[in-house]
Amino acid sequence: MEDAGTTVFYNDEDDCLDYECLHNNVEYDYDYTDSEKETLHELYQHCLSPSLFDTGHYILPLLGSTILFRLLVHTEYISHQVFHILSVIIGLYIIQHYVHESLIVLIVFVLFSYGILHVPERWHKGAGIFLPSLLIIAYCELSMQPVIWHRIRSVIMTMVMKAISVAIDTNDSNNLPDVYSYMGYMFCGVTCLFGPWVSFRNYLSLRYSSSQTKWWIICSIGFVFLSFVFLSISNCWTQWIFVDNSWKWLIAYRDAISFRTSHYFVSYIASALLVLGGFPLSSSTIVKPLYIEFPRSLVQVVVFWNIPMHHWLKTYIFRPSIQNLGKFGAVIITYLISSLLHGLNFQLAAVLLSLGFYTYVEFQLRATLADTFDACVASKQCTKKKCMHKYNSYNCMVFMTNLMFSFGAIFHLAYLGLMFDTSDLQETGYSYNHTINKWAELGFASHWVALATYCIYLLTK
Amino acid sequence: MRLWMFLTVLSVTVHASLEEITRNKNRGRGSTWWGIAKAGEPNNFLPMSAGSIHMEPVYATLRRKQRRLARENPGVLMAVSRGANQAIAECQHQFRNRRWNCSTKNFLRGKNLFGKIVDRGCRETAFIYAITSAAVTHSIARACSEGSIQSCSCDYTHQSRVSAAVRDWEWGGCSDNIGYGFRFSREFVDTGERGRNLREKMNLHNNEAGRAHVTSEMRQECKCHGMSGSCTVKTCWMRLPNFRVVGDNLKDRFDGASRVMVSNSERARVTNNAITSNSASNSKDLVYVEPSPPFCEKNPKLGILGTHGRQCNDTSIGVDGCDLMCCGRGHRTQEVTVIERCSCTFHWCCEVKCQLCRTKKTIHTCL
Repeated sequence: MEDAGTTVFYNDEDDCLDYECLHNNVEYDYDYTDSEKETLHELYQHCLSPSLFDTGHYILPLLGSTILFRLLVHTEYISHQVFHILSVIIGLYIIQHYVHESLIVLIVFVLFSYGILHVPERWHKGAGIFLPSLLIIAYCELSMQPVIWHRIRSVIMTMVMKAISVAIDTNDSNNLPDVYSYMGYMFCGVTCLFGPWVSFRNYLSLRYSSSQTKWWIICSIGFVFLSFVFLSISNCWTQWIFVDNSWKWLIAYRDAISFRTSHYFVSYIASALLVLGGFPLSSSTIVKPLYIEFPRSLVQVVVFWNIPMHHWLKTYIFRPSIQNLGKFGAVIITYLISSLLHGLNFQLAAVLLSLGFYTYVEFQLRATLADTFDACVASKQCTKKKCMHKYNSYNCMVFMTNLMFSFGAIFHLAYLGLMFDTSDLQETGYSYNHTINKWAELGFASHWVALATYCIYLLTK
Repeated sequence: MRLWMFLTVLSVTVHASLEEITRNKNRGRGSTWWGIAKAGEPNNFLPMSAGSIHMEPVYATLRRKQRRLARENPGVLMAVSRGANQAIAECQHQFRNRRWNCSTKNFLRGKNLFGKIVDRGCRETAFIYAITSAAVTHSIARACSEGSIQSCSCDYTHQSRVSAAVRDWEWGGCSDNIGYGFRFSREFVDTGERGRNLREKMNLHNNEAGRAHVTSEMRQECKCHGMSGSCTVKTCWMRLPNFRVVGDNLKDRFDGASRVMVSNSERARVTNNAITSNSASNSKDLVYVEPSPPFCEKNPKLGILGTHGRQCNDTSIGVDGCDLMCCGRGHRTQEVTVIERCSCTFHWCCEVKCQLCRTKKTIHTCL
């Protein structure tokens, strides 16, 4: 019975044999380009709202405990020991809440590293400073599941950096920190999850100085806001602007910028926490996105990528090793230590060592050029007062050269950053094959360019 | 009196069953709704009055159940119509370089939009069924999340936060209601295919395959955030599949479609690849029951236009090349002047101005 309505319409099909009828088979130009791209509304619903709200929900406990930490900092009548103990408790809560897998490992590591500080130097000749750090990284790398290790890596890394910095400082001054302040520093809830590394001195001076501006609340809100802007760029806008079937270098640029903005997001969250936790504003800048997105040189990118980390590497690795190993050796050892801190991951090591080589070549070549032509084309911008060069940055040729190096840096960054994509490997760490495949797709172009630059440098030397 | 009545009933049933046989022989009956793609376009038969809902003419082509569904879910017809158009556009895009180019008929009431090729249970038919079903699923799901269908709203079934400890990330946003689209498409598109004979089984399978392609492309994407590429924070969002991707996938399945043969025991048996038709691995495959007719020559019985007058590419050796496209009949080459936009410049802000240029183009058309 259901068919009754439709049966009627089937009858007249067979009489359509004539030319006229066949000519009715016009092809229609069906247009549905609007479905090629998500609308803004859909972008909001599918991407922006889940990303932002869930992340906000995620970091609420962290913000809350940081405010608690701030109250402790400014409470006068608790003694230093109590303050440090409370700081440890807050830090342990944060670790338990967010990365509970690493809790035991971290406690063992902190106690062990504090024990090592008591061993006289003549017994280990300085190598003992790195021993606990190497052990914990090796232990995590070899015995943990890749997913877990990848999740807690940044936490371990921050701890290791703190431990090494304290150990080296102690070694130089023979002034042992007491156990309370050491524990309080290591487990400081503000920096234990997202980093960054802060110096022991900065941590101790929290209680003494009131160097923070009155605008701290505005600053931290601003940092949180910026971090969410970068999060939305990283998750949604890049994917929305550059569609999947674009030119391969555009895709590379997109994936790289998505990785970079993800880093800005984390860095700005960390900055906000630092300010909220009472650290002075001057030491709270971690990253400078503008200097990285529009770089003067790769050296600048490396410096402003993570300013505290750069400071750490420079103070504790680069400067001590430059006397023994020379400049090139010191650069390479710095990047090796850096990649070791990041875990024994081929992709990160490859990226970091490539960066080490690139920055070295770029720095040397530009220094040579600056000397030869007496122009401001060195990797670092020469300050206005001190610029001794004949041609300053406003000279046309100098400007063009700098611009060329800038584009070179952007190109290198796209090439190096594209591998941190959203494939399944992101949770376990990227493999050797993934790295090589991604680079092979682009024909190892950036490495060839770097090699060519090196040849030019050799010729001009 | 009773005898007379009995005879009448008998004649009616015989008549009906005869009609059923002739119709079932070759026709997929659940397919007239495709005409909905032309909803709103004026046609010769029903001049549109301004006040009446412009869905009225196509309403007649819907089956009773489909009409009920449309009535109960306001807004759904627009989405189905959009889906049908999307399906046609995608089909024509995928087959633009083949002998059969997915041409559609000018809408005539009750007629099959894709023409009589649908009467054959061939590969092309399989593709049409799959792409239309996929498009309806896609379009309904989209409309759902846009809020233009009243009876469905954001699907919160995905939301299940385990506890305050957000260790493993759980989806918290509005998922694209792919479930609603899937269920609706099953109700709407599959109406009339009861799965009694092989052809109806084929249609059902291909409809289901089309939907499976949409759901499998609908996915949650996640991104890790953390210092130096670690994964301290993981954020996730939904990625709506581009319908082009669904079309591409279905075209791949079209190229590797399996033919189902009827054995004596009337059970469907797939000869190609030797996989059973209900296993999970090939639920996304397309199946067909008859070989495709040749599309070279005009065949009004099958509604085939032939490739006369089609444009071809004389340098290609593929199906779009003149040799294969014209079936060896040869081609005519002519130079035509085409007026197209050229030297477009961008004016701040935000306007693109173009000039009209005459360019000479060589086109090849099949004889």
